[in-house]
Amino acid sequence: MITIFLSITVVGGLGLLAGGLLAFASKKFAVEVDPRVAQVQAALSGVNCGACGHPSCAAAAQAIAEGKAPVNACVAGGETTMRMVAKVMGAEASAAVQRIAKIQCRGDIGIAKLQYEYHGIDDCRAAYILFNGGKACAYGCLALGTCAKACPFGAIEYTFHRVPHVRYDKCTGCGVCVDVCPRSLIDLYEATDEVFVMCKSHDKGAQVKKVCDVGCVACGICERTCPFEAITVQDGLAVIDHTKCTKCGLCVIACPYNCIWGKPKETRAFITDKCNGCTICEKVCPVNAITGEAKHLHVVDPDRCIACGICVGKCPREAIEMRERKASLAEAA
Amino acid sequence: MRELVDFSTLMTIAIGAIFINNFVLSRFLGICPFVGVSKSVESSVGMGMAVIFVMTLAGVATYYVNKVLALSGIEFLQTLSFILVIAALVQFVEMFLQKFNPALYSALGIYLPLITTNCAVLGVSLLNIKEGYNIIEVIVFSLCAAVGFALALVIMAGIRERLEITDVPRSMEGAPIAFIVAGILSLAFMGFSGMKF
Repeated sequence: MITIFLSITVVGGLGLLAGGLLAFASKKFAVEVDPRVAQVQAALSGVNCGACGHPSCAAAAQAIAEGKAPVNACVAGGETTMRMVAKVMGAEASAAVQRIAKIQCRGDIGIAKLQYEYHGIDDCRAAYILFNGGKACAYGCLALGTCAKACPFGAIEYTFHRVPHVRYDKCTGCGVCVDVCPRSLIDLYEATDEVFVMCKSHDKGAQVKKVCDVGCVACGICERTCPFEAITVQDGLAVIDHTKCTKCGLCVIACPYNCIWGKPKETRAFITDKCNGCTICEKVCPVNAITGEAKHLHVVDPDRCIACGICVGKCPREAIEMRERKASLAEAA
Repeated sequence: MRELVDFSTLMTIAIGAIFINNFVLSRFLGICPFVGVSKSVESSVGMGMAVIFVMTLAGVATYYVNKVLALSGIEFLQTLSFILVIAALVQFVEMFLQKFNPALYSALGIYLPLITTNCAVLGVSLLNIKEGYNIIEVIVFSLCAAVGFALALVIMAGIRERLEITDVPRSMEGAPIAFIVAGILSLAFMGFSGMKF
């Protein structure tokens, strides 16, 4: 009996003592913390990618709450995060431009030639130290997937010995991969850009042909093809000026080495019955997809049309519109 | 009655706690932080420091709590009261540090509350009592047990950092290879057993 009594007293006493001590300490040693820090941190993604320039999401939240960083500091979170942070801070903010990473090489191992076979640590940076890596091309992707491992969002898909592939539904434009690529093949572009030169080789054409089947040899065909003067060949490499590019996709088709990539288009041009048969569209179509006699309704061949949109801009009666490809195929049938 | 400070005994306790009966590698206490926080040397050092700090404090605190229990003749409540005391102590120390030493607080960071009810911390308290140490020996044993824990953790983190960049079969990546390495590491520490002074 006495044991039970003693147990209850001693352990209960200990509990009370500890509880009292903690209650006292929490009052006495309380540290004033800005409650917004926790709220901002809850809004951030918590992957600590470092794209904002702060070492962690916690540090970024602290900086935002103190007003040292703007409410749209989180690059990775995009617009939803920015809105939530702005709500906490009671500020109006416009989202920073959403950006995406693009790996600019198509030379999978097997397509691009090797200067030696690399068997070492599975990391592009390690391979790069050893005679600039296994690729014969001095600009090519080493295809060991360092960017895929570095990506904090799992947005880069990598299969062994192939150039990794960025998934745009997951990429947040944080830029972590840009820094780890030893060949500097990754750049950030605005999410609305759709046409890219998939090569970074500044070598002379003959040298590029020797080491790779899909490299830019600076032939200048794209430069001459582009109706908007958006592509220029600079220092042995085609460069797209994205402010001028209208994403028409003509260069994608024109490139004889298949090294310009354009986002596949789901739309096709379609001529409505506002057409009075002026034949302007027929003349401007770069792929001869439009046929029709003068003063009669013109027709677009959806199989030949590449959805460049040039005819839409030229039609004086605004009779041409872009429609879903399937819909326009059905109309034609 | 033994002397309060006997250097040869203290030395034996220290070497024994760090190497021969290493808490992680031969007593198998505190395995979860050993696997969980050994991914990078940086975080393992942080965890190690926090464990050293907490274990020494907890060892001393529970030594006196046990005195109270012994006086009342209810030593069977050791486990219960020790957990209670350690948890309260860690919470108190955390608040204290946040107020008076924010630098140390942010250095120990998340690891401090993580080890509140760690089995290694409870283990050191129970072993102190079982071995019948006096207060100086309790301090030395608790400190050295924690140093041994930190040592094992840092060694493990060093190995795992190397493992990150080696070609490990896919199915063995991460935790499986870590357990195998831990086993080999433990075998290596078994080499210390039989050491006498």
